[in-house]
Amino acid sequence: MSIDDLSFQLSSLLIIKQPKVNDAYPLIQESYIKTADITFQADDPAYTGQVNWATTVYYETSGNRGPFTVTDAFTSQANTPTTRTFKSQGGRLSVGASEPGRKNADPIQYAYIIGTAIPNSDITSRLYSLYNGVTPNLLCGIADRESSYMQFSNITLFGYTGRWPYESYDGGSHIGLMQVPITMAYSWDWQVNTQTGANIFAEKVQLAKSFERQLRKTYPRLPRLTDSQIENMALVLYGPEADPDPYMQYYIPQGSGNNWQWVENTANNPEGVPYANDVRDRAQKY
Amino acid sequence: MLMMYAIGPKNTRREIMDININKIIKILLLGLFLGILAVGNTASASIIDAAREESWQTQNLRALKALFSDEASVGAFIKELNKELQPALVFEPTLCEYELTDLNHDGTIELVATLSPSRDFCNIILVVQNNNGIFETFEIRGGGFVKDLKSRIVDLHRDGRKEILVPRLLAPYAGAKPIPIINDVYEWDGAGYRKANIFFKDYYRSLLPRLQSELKAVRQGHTKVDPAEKPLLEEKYEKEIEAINEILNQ
Repeated sequence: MSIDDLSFQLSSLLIIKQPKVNDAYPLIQESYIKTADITFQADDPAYTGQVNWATTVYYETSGNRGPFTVTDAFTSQANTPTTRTFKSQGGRLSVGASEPGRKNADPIQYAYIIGTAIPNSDITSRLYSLYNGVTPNLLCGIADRESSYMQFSNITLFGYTGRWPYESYDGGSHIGLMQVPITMAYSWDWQVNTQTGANIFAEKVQLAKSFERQLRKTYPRLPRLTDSQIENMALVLYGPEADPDPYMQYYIPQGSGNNWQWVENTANNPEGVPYANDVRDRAQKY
Repeated sequence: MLMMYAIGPKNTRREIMDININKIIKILLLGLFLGILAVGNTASASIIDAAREESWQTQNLRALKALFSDEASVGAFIKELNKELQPALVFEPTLCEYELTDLNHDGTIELVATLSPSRDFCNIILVVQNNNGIFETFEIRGGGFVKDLKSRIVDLHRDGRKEILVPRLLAPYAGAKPIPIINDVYEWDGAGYRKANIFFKDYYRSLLPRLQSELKAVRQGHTKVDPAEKPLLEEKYEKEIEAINEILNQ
């Protein structure tokens, strides 16, 4: 055996001790958006220098929406543990470690960063805090209808069964509590997800007011919509039956002469109106 | 309008101005106005006028693709089209995807686009035809979200005429929960795009084996979904099979 051979053998002894294949790290810190400290340790009996770490968190839905990746690099000393946390991200985690100028350790393929069960009470307080309209629990109704109040559901993805972001029925074009268009953060950070849903709903409220203004210009005898009626209009606009046509909204003008009123528009939007009514019914639970 | 505002105040001062200076100013203003008009026309000529002037014949596909080179150009075109055809719209649905293709096998290109009225739902299909400079639009909405528009424009009878597969919800939208959906086949009937499912029974027959096998897998517990959703998934496949059988029996 030559010196070169010996050197090769020694350099190949770096082994990742932690994390291990199939380890799972749920998002349990900071209101369920961050992992606990995850220990990274690579051992090499013949080396005590620096170890370079590279991690990749990879996520795509069951319907191949995405992919989203987050990479990270950090260092530690060989044979000494270090810790990292992962926040607002999740999925399949691959871990590589190497000693500078020497051979890489066999990578860990794969560990998993997964979701966790978020208590309903936390979700409810969050949704109340995000909306100050006339119906304070309205966003709760939306979350109930859109996601059954779940950011994560128990499915198998990448061969791992656990809590993964709750995907829309079409393989994940929409995600999480408020079923907003998918991104890494909306999938794994329920606070960002709910904030985004609330922002979208706020835009819909403004749109509903625009519809009201336009229709009252055409029918000046129409009364103003109440705040609650504006919410109904906004709910239709949040749902899949949203439509830019003023005569496809929750309410439609009806009347003659001096007597005009808003009536439910089930004739033109037979799916949208029940969606809004259902959200209101569900909101009563919270 | 610009000319009225620009020339009006000058005319009130005509009496105190030298006649030659007045003439020069008038000429300058006229030139300015014509310049503004020309620039304005160029700006508003934009994409809809360019699209109107362009040939939509299949042999001109390359030029049409250059005109509609990206989502921004197609989005701008649809926006201008809506201004002409549906000025009452309060907001513009956003463009999701688009295709340029000869749907009817008549040598003329159609623009097929999916639009989202909210939250990236992409559940509106818009077909635009250019009939000698007059744009006609046809809107199809089945309720289901459309992904990968290209895969939904198909030639099921292999006769050169293409059909559009439009997903239709067989139950009310339930958020993330699985719901039954089938594709309706839309074809050109000479005046518009109509649902023509019964003329495409071979297509529906071809869907059955996969659905039956999915249903069997769910019933046997071989599924990756949340166990709580298993009954919903079972119901979904049952309803989809039932809807297809209805078409086959028509």
